[in-house]
Amino acid sequence: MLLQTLLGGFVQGCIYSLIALGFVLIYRATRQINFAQGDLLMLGAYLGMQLQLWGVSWAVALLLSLILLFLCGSLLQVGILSSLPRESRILVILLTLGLGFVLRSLATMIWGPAPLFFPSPYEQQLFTWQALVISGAQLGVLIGSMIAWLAIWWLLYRSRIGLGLRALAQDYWMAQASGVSCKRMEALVWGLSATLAALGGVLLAPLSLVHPESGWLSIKAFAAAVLFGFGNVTGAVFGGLLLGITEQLSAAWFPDISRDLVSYLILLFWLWLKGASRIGSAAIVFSGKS
Amino acid sequence: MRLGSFIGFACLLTIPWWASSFWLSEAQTWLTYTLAGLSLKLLSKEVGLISLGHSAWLAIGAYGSALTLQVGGAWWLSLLIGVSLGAMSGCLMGWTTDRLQGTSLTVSTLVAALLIQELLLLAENWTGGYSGISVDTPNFLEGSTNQHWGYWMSLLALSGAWLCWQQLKDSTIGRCWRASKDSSQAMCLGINPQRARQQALVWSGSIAALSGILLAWQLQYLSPEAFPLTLSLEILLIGLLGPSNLWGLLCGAALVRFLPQLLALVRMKLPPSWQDLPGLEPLVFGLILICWIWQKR
Repeated sequence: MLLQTLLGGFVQGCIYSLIALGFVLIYRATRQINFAQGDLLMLGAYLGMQLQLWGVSWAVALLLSLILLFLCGSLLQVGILSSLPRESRILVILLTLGLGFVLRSLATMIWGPAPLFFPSPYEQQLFTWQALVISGAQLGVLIGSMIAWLAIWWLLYRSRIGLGLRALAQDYWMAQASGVSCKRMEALVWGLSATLAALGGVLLAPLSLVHPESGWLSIKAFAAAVLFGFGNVTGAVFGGLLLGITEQLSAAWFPDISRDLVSYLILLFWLWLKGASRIGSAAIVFSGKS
Repeated sequence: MRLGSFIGFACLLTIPWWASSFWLSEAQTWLTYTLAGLSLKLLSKEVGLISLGHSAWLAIGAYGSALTLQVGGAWWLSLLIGVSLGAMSGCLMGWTTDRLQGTSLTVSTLVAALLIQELLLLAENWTGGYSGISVDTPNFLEGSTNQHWGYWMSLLALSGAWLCWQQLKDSTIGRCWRASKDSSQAMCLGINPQRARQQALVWSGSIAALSGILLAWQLQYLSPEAFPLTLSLEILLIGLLGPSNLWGLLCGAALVRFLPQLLALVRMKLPPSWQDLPGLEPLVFGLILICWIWQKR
């Protein structure tokens, strides 16, 4: 029973870690916080569902939704954010928050406020291993997010693009002077984190239905991102997992207390503990080791 | 300028005598929203902090007052308790502003707004959970002309808060506030920037709580859904959009307050399948916020 709860937490944590990774990537590269991250997740899930309703197969729908969200993310950066002054981070927060409201209400208008069913090829399957029961959807989340972590790790630490990104994270003008196309990198990073959100959305959708309010997940994912120090890629993954497991355990042990409460408290406490030193200052840089 | 203000004030004062009951209650909500916007403007203009959690302060004031009335407290006591709860939460937030600056304070106010809703649901025995509680009408508001008095009360609160701010602005406190925008400079001048920010948060919190109380007295019913994050967004828009004088705030509040009604009128003109489209208001508010930031660049 405990193992089952832990598994549920781990799966939930994978989703958090995907969104948290998106937060951290953007923060590292541009020092901005994207509060529309959760709404991009919702958008990805809806797109995947709509494509499947149009008769596209699951795998193609997943791929198309990832590509579309990548375009959305980069267009957002190129079209709106790049023209804002670089140092006014508060404007970006307000803007993405406003964008979140817009996306949420657009989704409500198009697809209606009721939760919708998300078809997937593996929804019916159940795998049992000793006393543990894993549904196909849970397995999908596990495998999908592991692939995403590996891909991000490879991109950051083993590819030329990652070198550019790490340079950008250290110093914008220095990177620019060394021949890194910073504007392109920033667009890439926004697109990448939107893609991660879309992946989270499509993977999560068979587990919990698709609904416009599912974007609120992002506040909890933000709590996960800050858990081990904001701006730490590995920390974001482990923070997400830890938060997911904590949530499931607290839900199992204290059923009366809402699960959201735990993550809000973690976030408030963390912000209070080291707010200004972490988010306020720009002193953190990508270190070579992950 | 003086004359214009007097004429405007006189117009506002006489609204209860010529407006219909519907428009009077709308005008009262409008003034209450202006008051909430004023508390945010005070914070952003004087100390440069932006709060996304003003709905939390409104909720604190409203529930504080409603619960006091429920256990049989007098109206002035409930007012006092609501406002001091707001001041106390402002003070509590102020303790953390030394650590939290700029972005992280904004994020933590957002989380506070979400947290308050959870806490209200958790304290079901007192707050009634989802089903909410009814607010007893304060006894001086009972009787035939209670709507008049409710309106005048809001007007009084708004003008009182505005005059208070004007007085504070050029006092030592106000100058300390403005100096504290740059921590290191403030410290060179012998000002404790954290203390200044804390004072501003206490003022802002009390004013926001006051508007929450007035809202509760007018609605006579409270539930956690009365203080959604959209309310925070609306208050943010009131505080940010207009120029920083009372008329700017009033115009901002009018936009936020009457735009949904305008949208309802627009809706009637739309084809039938579009009429009961959900989520039009948050869409418009979100777009306004984005446009405002767009022209800021």
